[in-house]
This record gives sequence, C-alpha cells and structure tokens, in this order.
Amino acid sequence: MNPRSVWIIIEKEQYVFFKYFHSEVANAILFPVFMVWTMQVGIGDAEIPGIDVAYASYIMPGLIMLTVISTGFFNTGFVMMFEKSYTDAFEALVQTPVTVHEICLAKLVSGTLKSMVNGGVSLLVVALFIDVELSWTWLLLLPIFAVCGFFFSCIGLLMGTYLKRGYELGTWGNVLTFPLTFFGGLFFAVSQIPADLQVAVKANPVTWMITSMREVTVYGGWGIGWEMLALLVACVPLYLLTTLLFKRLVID
Amino acid sequence: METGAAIRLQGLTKRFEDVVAVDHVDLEIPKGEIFGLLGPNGAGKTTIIRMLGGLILPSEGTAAVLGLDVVADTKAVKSRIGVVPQKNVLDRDLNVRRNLIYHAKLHEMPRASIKPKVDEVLAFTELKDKRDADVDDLSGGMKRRLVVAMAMMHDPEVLFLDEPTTGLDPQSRRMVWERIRSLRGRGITIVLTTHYMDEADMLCDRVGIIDQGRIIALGTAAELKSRLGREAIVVALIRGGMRDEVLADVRARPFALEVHGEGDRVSVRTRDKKAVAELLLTKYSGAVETIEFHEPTLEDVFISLTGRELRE
Repeated sequence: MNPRSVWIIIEKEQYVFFKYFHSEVANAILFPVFMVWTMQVGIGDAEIPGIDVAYASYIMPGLIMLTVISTGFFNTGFVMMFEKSYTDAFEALVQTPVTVHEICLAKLVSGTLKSMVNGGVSLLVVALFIDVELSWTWLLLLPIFAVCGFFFSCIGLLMGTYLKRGYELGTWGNVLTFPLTFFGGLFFAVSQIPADLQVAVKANPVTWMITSMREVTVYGGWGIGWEMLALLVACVPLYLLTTLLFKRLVID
Repeated sequence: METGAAIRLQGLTKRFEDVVAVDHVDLEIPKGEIFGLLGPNGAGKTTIIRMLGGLILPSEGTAAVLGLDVVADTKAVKSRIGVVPQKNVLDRDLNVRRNLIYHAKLHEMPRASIKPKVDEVLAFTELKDKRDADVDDLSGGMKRRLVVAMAMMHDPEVLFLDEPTTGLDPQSRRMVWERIRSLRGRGITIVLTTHYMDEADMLCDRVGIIDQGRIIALGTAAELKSRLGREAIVVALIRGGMRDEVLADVRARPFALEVHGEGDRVSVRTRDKKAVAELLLTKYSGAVETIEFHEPTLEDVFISLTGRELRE
C-alpha cells in the first residue's frame, strides 16, 4: 500500500468535490435546513409523545445524519459509476501502477471526508435555525460522521461499481437510505412504537448513529457509547469485504 | 530478467464463461517494433491488450512485457507501459492540463519533471493551445490526442494503441498517424490494434492477423500480401439484380480462385484478371457498371484466410 498514491486520488476527488460544491449545498445541505425550518414553523413547541425537546431540535440530528449517509452512499457511488460506466476515467486509473486496494481505500476515505464536510456544514447552518447551544463537545460528532460516512461509502462504492445505470443506483440508494433513516428514530421516539418493532429499530445501526448525534447536539452528552464503538469495529471487516468485492468487480 | 523481446506471449488464452476470446496465442514482439494486430471486431485484439495491461487476468498461458510477467509483476509492468484504449478515458471534471498532471502523479513522476513533460506532450500532440480547456470542449480528434498525450507522460517503453483512430474524421486520423510515426524514432515498442487495413499497412513493421482469438497469419504487410502470389483482385459493380447469377458463373470458372459478393459488388481473386474482365464485359456487359483491378491488400489476405471481410 502506497500512501502517496492513495493521497493523490483523494486530493483529486476533493478538488472535484469543492469545484462543484454549490450543487452539494443545494442538495445535501439545504434539504435539512428547509426540513427543520418547516417543522419549526409548522409544529413549533407542540408536545409530541416521548419527545422532551422542541420537535425541530429533535429531528435535526436525524436530518443531518441523512445528509452524511446520503453523501457517503450517493457521492461515492455516483463518482464510481460515472468514472466506470460513463466517462471511462476509471480505466485510465487502473492502467496506472496504482493498485486496486489503493484505489478502493482512496475512494472510501474520499467519500468519508465528503460526508464529514457536508454533515458539518449542514449542521452549522441548521444550528442557526433552532434552539441549540454550540459546544466544544460537538467535535465528538466528527468521529460519528466519519464512521457513518465510511459505512455508507463502502456500500455506495460497491453498488456504484456493480450497477451500470444511474437510475438503478438512485433507486437502490433511496430504498436503502430513507427507510433506514426514517426507521432509525429520525421523526419519532423509539419508545413510542410497538415493542415488537422496537427490536428492529434498535438493531438498525442508523438508530445508533442518530441517537449518538442527538445525545451530543440536543442533550449535551458525549454520544459515543458502545453502539458507536461497535460500528467503528465493524468498519474493519466491512472495509476488508469491500476491498475484496471491489477487486472482483473491477478485475476480471 | 529482461530479454530482447518487448512482448512475449505463450499459449495466452482468455475465456469469458463459454466464449474463448483469445485462444492459445504465441507471439514475440522485439523491442522498437511497431506491431499491428489486425482483425475484425470481436477477434480478441482488445482482450490481448487488456491482458498485457494487467486489466484482466489470462485464463491460461503467460504474457510478459519487457521480461516482466503481467500477472506477477503487474505494478512494474504498468509503470513501464502506456495504454491508449479504444475509449477516451479522460476525466471530464479536470481540464487538459490537470488530466496530464493527475496521470503523471499516479505514475509517481518527480514533481519537478511534471511541468516540462506536460509542455512536451502537449506540443507533441499539438494541444498546447488547449492546455486549460475543459475536456468536454475538445473535438473527438483532440480528445484522442489527449489520451495519447496521457499515455506518453511517463515515457513508456511499450505503448499499446487500441484502435487509436476509430471514429475519427480523415484529417484527425492522419494527424494521429503522423504522431505514431514520429514515435518510431524514439525507440518505443508500439502495439497497435486496428480493423483498418490501410492503417496496419502504413504504420506497422509487422502485422498479425487475428480472427476468433487466434493469430492466423504473421509477417510484414508485404510478406502477407505476397502470399496471394501474382494474384490480382477484380472488383465489379453489377446492376439489374444480376449479381447472384454473375457470382455463380464466375465461381464455376477455373481462373477464379475466390469469389465474394457484397451488395452489388462482386470481388474475384484471380491469377488471370484479363479472363475475368473478358467474361464480365462480354457476357454481362449490360449489367457491369464499373470494373476495377487492384493489387491484393491486407483485407484480401484476411478474406483469403477466413472467407469473410474485416468489416463483418
């Protein structure tokens, strides 16, 4: 593994990301802003069962996490798909002495960094609209964003490599990310849903991600419990599996 | 250990499920040669190039580039070759200059040497004025030249050109040919795949004719054409729905070595072009619109070997 080769790819991906950052702002960042704002206006301080803070504040972490997850999945997936199936730039990349492992790691780190940037920027913007106090503990969100971004970058990279058409990736991405997020306690308190379903919601890793973030931003806690540590550990086998499958998909 | 051969294939085979794309190919290309792989689409040309470039793994046999095994020493092979694939493998998010710089960095070129090299390859491919242009703003010929420039950035010892002029207009084709010819003096070994016989004829020191994954003939263009001996090709344009009748008649004549029909055209390989012309102009004078004679081309060699045209 040559770290320099990995960095060159990351550097190029970040260059392109910031070159088109205006479209990122429109998509990934404005969505949670408008969502929080409309909830603030529409629901205000009305009491919601199981929720002990303003509803807009309550849903904010889930919406930011949706941005992090979507960026990890869609950005990594679409960049890969376009390079492989549309512009063929991926072919130029694999013709260089850079190994498939280095490419895979670079793509995943790029996806993770983009997720962190989009998550961080949207969080700061959303924070202007709701009643939360900025705190140094918010820095703890960075590892949470990193783990979530990496997790979904792995899935996005594999699907972007395997699928051939943009609409397929869009469909599968929505099928995966929205239910996981909506069923991850974004809009409701987990305690309010039937006990049988609670098991599934609590087993959903996105619930852990959203809960951790809510702990930090809304309740002023640390947010990094055993669930996040479990996700961090799970990143290792997920990375190894992604590398293995990626290699199979790109080298015949 | 490096040997005198730039490329050596021994029993190289590639299967895609039930399809044998490359079938036990043995080939040796000396350093400094411009070698052409001539064959129709689907003959296995690109698959060979992709195996040599380490992009796909052989199913059987071995392939060595500059003495390095393409499977065991992929990274070392890739650092010493340049590949111009069929498609324009350019990054549309980067401009011309950035594409070249990115490629140079991935080849671990020293930082100080990148800028002069960018200037050099842009001058070589006559793209200096386009250095800051977006890739999407380039014409098809310019994109092709930029792909060549990219492949040249790291001074490869072996350059693979996979159908470098397919889809280009005649002017752009000529420009790419000129660039390839000018590489000859630099001592680079060039492997060129094409289905254009004139391209292979004009550019290559030796040509391998490939069909259905096998190399069916190998030699200089002159040697391959001489296989048809003192033969000539007579091509006649037949009108009035008479083609099939003419075909059948000519085929029955002893002077016709091979007869081929396509559309209104009848093509006859013969050692007695006068006899063919006499037959056509006397018996079918009303139907023959034009009649031409020419020396055998590489396409005629291909037809004589396979019974099919290169375009089929």
